[in-house]
Amino acid sequence: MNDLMVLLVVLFSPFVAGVISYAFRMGARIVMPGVGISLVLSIYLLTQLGDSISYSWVWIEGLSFSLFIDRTALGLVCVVNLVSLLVLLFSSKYMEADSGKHRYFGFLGFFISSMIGLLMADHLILLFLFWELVGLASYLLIGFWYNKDGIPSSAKMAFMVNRVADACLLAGIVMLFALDLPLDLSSSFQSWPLFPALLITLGAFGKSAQFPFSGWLLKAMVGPTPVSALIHAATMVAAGVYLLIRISDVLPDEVLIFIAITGCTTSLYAAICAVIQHDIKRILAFSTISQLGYMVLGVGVGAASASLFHLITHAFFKAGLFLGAAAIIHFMHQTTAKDGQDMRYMGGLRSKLPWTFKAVLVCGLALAGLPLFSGFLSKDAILIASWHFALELGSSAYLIAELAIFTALLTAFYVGRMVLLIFFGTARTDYEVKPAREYKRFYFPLITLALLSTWIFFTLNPFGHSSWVLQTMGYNSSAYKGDLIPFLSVLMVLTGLTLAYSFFKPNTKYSKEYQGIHNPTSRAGLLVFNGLYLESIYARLGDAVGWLAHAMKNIDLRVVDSLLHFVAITSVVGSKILALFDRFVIDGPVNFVAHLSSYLGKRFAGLSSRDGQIQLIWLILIVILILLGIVFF
Amino acid sequence: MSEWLATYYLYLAAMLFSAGVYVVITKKNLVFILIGVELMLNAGNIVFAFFSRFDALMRGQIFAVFSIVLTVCEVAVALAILLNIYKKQKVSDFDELREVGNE
Repeated sequence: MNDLMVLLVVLFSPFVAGVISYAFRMGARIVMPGVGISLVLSIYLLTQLGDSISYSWVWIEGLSFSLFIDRTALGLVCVVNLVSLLVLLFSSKYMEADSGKHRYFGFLGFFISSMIGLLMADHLILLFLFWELVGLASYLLIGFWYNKDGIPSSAKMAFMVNRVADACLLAGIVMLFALDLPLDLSSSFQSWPLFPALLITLGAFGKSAQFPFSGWLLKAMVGPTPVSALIHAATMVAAGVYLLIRISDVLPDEVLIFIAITGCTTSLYAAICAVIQHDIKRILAFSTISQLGYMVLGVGVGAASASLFHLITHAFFKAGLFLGAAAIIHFMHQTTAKDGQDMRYMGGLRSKLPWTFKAVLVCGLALAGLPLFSGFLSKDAILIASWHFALELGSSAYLIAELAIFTALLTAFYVGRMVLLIFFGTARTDYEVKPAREYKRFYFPLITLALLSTWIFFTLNPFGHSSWVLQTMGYNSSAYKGDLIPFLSVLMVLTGLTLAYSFFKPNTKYSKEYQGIHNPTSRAGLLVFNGLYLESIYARLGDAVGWLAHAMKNIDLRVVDSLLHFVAITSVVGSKILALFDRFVIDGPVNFVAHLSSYLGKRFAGLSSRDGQIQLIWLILIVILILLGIVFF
Repeated sequence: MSEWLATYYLYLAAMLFSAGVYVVITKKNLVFILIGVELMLNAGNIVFAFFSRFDALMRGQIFAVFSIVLTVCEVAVALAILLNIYKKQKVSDFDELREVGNE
């Protein structure tokens, strides 16, 4: 088999497996081997790969679609496949009782293939194609339980927010095309002009849920939780960061600074929002937005490899966290009738779900960025890079680095809060001790992901920021040597965790009364609790567009239609007038001439009477007249 | 004869001619019309005869005599035709005469 064949198998086997699963109702039994084949082959390719492979097909004259697979792309394909495989394993149990599970697994295969295609695509148009396919697949999966209340509209909103960003991306691509710049990412060396670069960046922001597009990720929470794991970890949101990493060399400096600022603010605002949520999935969604903010910040400060590293480590621990949440929600649904996602009904789950607890704890600490866990390595790399960036630019650029470091504290705080409130203390709901237990298919992926969230899989030195992962992907990762930053960030994380422990440890006032806590009522509290009301703003914007359409319709009805009526009536009246004019002015003389000639004709008709003698009289008269004429003239 | 008297010939001729015209116009009977035509012809003859006074060769009077002879022949033929028409079509009225000739 040559490389191309292998690549195509890697690309299409999840999709084909998904189609078979859907068509023959085979569920996870066929999709998991499909993704497994893809995983094995992509790892095989990674070991075989020299530098990069590229293929291109001429689609239209002058426009060729090309795949470009370097170590970065292939490494991410491996990560996507690995995470997807674990999520599939988890889903096979989680969705067991769902009647639509064949559809579910079919969509998952489609989703995974689209993402792999996106990673492999080199030509921007091809990338955009897969970009849209990923968006479509995520829409289908978010709206998977489409017959439940509110879910279709949430899925629609998530989809439409993405469409707005995608429109920016497409506009940017078209602009590049119009400027005659190469659309192949692998052959783009010349720096892009400001405007298209900005538009493409906005497109990437949409996919990666950066402010102001971040609201869709919360709406995406209505989908099945394993899907959230997939969306948040490997497939959907990674696409935007991946695009930014790929184009980071050709972005102009102004755009990079814009990216850094957006990443920093997004990560800060999402971390603040995450602190006061009660819904476990919303906490995780905000934490994803926050971590994506870190990655975007990394690209902005010129540390694309650090972002890539964080993307990979985040993929594992966030998938672990979401699958853990899914396990918890599953447990809650089985044992109580209460809202299975609300932390106010949880508590004391450590003894009920020991494996889930351990996995979530490890993944959570990785998210918090504690040393010995993967998150520390990658997040610190970004923090160090942003500090260097600040050193270079000076003045207000320090703010970015400082806010990023402060966000680390908040991250540790909400992770601690979440873990403590869910697993420690006493149960705030009576769990019926029914068949609820941990399933092997639940905790095997969880433990795998937890193990992948420790440092040991990335580097031997838990404080060294060089990783074999980055080296495999072709990056020189020894650049991130911070002086004091690692200590500062560890300090921040420890402070955050300590604060969380002091507030939310069992038997404190807060955790005892936690069940009775209502959603915040103050204005600032509400603002943060609802994530800056972004979702409502989108809804308002949607309403505004609807209103605008309505207004346009009214204008159409009132102004345009009445204008048309006016024109119609005027023309009818005008034609009546013209008809009168025609009849009297144009026809009149004609009729007059006709009448006149008919009159004269009647008068002169006697001349040719059948009465011969009258003719004779005329003859004589005329002869006399002629004679008179001859005589007198 | 004086010049003064001479013009009375012309008056006579004019009267004869007018009478002829009148007869032709007013009378419906074909025979009367023939008579009217003869009157007009004779008015012409009188004018011929009168103006031959101023011609030493008297060519006008000769022409008048010649014309009378022709008129006799013409009347004879015309009367014959009229008689035949009357015989065949029982028509003597000018207005009722539709066709002459082959039947």
